[in-house]
Amino acid sequence: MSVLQFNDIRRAFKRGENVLDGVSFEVGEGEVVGLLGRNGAGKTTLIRIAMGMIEPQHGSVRVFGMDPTRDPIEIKRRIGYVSEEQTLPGFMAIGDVIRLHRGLFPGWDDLMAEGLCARYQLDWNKKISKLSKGQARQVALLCAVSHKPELLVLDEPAGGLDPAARRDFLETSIQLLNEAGSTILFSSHHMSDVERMAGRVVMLHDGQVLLDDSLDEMQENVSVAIVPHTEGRAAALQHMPECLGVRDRIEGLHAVIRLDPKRARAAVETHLHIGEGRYDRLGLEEMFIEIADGQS
Amino acid sequence: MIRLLLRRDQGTDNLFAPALIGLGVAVWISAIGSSESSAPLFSPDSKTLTWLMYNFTVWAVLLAGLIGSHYWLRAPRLHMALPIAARTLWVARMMSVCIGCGVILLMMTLVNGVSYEAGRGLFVIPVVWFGALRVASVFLLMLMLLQAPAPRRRKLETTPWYVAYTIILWVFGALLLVFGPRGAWLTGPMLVAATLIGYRTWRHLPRAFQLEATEPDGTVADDPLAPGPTEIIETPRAATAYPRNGSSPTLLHVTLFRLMHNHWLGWLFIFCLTIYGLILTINYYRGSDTLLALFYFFMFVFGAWNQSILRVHPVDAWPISRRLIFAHAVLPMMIPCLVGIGLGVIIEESKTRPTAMIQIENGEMDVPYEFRGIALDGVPPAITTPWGETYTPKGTRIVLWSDAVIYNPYEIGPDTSPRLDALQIGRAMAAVHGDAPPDPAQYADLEVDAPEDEKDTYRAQALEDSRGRGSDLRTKTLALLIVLFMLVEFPLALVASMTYDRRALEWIRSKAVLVGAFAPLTLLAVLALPTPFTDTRIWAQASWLMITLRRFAEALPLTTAQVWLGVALAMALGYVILQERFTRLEASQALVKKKLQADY
Repeated sequence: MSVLQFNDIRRAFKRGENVLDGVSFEVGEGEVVGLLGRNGAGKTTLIRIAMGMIEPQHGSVRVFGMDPTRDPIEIKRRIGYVSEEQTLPGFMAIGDVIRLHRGLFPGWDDLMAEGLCARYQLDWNKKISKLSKGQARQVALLCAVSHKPELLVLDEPAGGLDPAARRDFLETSIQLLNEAGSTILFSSHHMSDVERMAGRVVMLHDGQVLLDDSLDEMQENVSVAIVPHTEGRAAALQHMPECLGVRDRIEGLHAVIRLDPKRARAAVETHLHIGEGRYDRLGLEEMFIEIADGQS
Repeated sequence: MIRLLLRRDQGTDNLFAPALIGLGVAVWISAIGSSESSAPLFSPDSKTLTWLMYNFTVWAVLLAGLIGSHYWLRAPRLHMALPIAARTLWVARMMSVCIGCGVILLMMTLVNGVSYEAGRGLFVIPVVWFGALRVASVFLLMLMLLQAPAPRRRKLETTPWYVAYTIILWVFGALLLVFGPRGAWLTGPMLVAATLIGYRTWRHLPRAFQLEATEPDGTVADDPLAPGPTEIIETPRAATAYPRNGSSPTLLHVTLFRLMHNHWLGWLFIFCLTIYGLILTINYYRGSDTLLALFYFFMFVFGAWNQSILRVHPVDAWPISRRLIFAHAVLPMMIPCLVGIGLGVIIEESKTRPTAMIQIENGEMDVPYEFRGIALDGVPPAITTPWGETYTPKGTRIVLWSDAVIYNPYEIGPDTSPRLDALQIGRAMAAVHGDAPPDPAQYADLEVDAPEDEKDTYRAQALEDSRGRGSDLRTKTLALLIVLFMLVEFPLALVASMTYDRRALEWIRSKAVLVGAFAPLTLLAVLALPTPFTDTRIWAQASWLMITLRRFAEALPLTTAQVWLGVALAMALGYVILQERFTRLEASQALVKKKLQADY
């Protein structure tokens, strides 16, 4: 059963400039999906649409089978949400934030919240405005996970945190919720985080889904072909159905092919009739750079 | 370098806003000064009141400008990374604050100064030209005093102590301007003092600002204005326990209120709404202008509404009904409105000698605007009595390029006979209070034994019957005025809470609504601008609108109670429509982004 379903979502903030332009994918129960894309690719907009904070101008979105614009309260009660921009009120003490969330979320688990509090060594009387960025994010995570949400949505949750705090933050959310069968959708620019957390990756580019695959599949079946420059070769590579992007580099053309290296070589040889070149697998970070750069 | 920093500074990046504020307040002052009802207050006999009014208003507007320019900040965080000395950053920041506030003062001085030179409006004494120098020098001194504490800090924390310090200084500045020496020579000592204090601060600035300033001994700087160190007794603090209990709904309501209204602008709106509610009620009882009071009243309602919807974003992820958020955005504004109106009613009803809607002041009889007349050809009709006495009321031009004038059909002059005065008073009371119209013939043989120098006393006595009496027609007209303002403000509120456009039709509709909503405001501004320089008057334009509404109220086949019921229903309908619109509102990221990017 799909927890989250986007169907041909389009959205613009200025006329004629679609931030999202026909995005469709589903997230199944218990899945951990990493949402990747360059700045302005539409990740945050898509997440806000899922939260019912903004409406799509075309297409439909379903969360737990419901429309977030029609049933926002019911949906939000079942979602945990952490975003870099969604700040908690600075004037509130941590204790008041917890009391407030306990009232808002019927499934609030005091044991879990108390455990997290002890782990993060939080002072209840301290105001949010007096916390460091990392501590404030810890409180936000505590509030997002302590009601045991069925879906955890993290929008650049670890942005600005140091590596240790980031690791701790993500491990906590994964450990607490993934084991309990919660579904997680998160966006991040840290590929190592995505590799550690996600089972599946959805890559957005120019408001469209460029890649949607399981992480294992991607690492197994996406490779880079480095072939020498010649006139018209870049365009020919772009026309290959398996080609995800081509970058012009000093040492040659870098083409990301959605095939394992062996089959990629065969495909390139068939299409372009060239025997030379190097074919390698890609790490997620290299893959992201090659595809994102190759598309722009 | 300083010019580059000024261009990047918050205080100077958009000088249009302070210029507009200065212009708006200056026109407002001139309009008040030229108002028929308040002009006597500012006659050459009441120089002190003019002096007080001008200095107090300018000083209050400069305080708003000072807060808007974030005077507590010595250097923006972004500038700290630049290889620029702290002293340069500070000088640039201070210049920016001065330029921003200086533009306000300049606009007010220009408009009000020209208005004075033209011999119109409020300024019957030359308070403006040299007054601006006094205000500027005292402002500079106050700014330097505000900057004096903790010079090692990049930013003065707005602790309660610092806020109190600011208030004390500002009150002192106001007292100095209002009750201090009136000569322009005051500028000299003020500038010297400001320079000395500024130089002291400048000398004590560090070479480079630090985010967290430290004292010479390496400790973190304390609150610069907090009381001095006292004996610190270490008391063991109990480890705080997890807040296992409590999730009262009150906490949610308090949080929503604090998020939406607990900011300086929010409290300013609450204050202004209370004051304008009070003014509106008192003006109603006194028979004075309700139009301008209601205009400002609605302006602040809209301002408060617009501010509160900007602040929805932080609660957007919480599972709370948008209707609840809407109630929190709207209803707290109603409380100061009602408090202001209630206060006005209490004040007026508790008077041992009730106020009259018809007033006689300086030998002239005043009736509320709506009971005046319009003469399109510019010649008010003469009043001719059965005993052959004739009197032609004065006319006041409504707008440029038109002959139409407003006149008072119940006017009495210094030379009118007691019989005519009595007839006019009788006619005015009939129009305002709905009494039976007097028969002019019955005044023909009236003899009043009143000496010429006691004419005013006699006339005032004749109006005693008007005290404490209401006016059904005025109440009905006020209801229509409220409906009119709702018709203006409602589309504005709709546009403000609009989601992004989806189809071309909706786009066109929204833009049409926007133009339609702003048209009356633009028209009012256009009408108000020439008043300091021409013989048109804001009160004449207000009268024209009120007379039209009164005529409409007379023609409306409904009782006053029915009209007010209609107003209540219209308000309820407006609430429901706006509420539904609000449920689809997309929260603005503007405030969040500004906070994240600017670090002010």
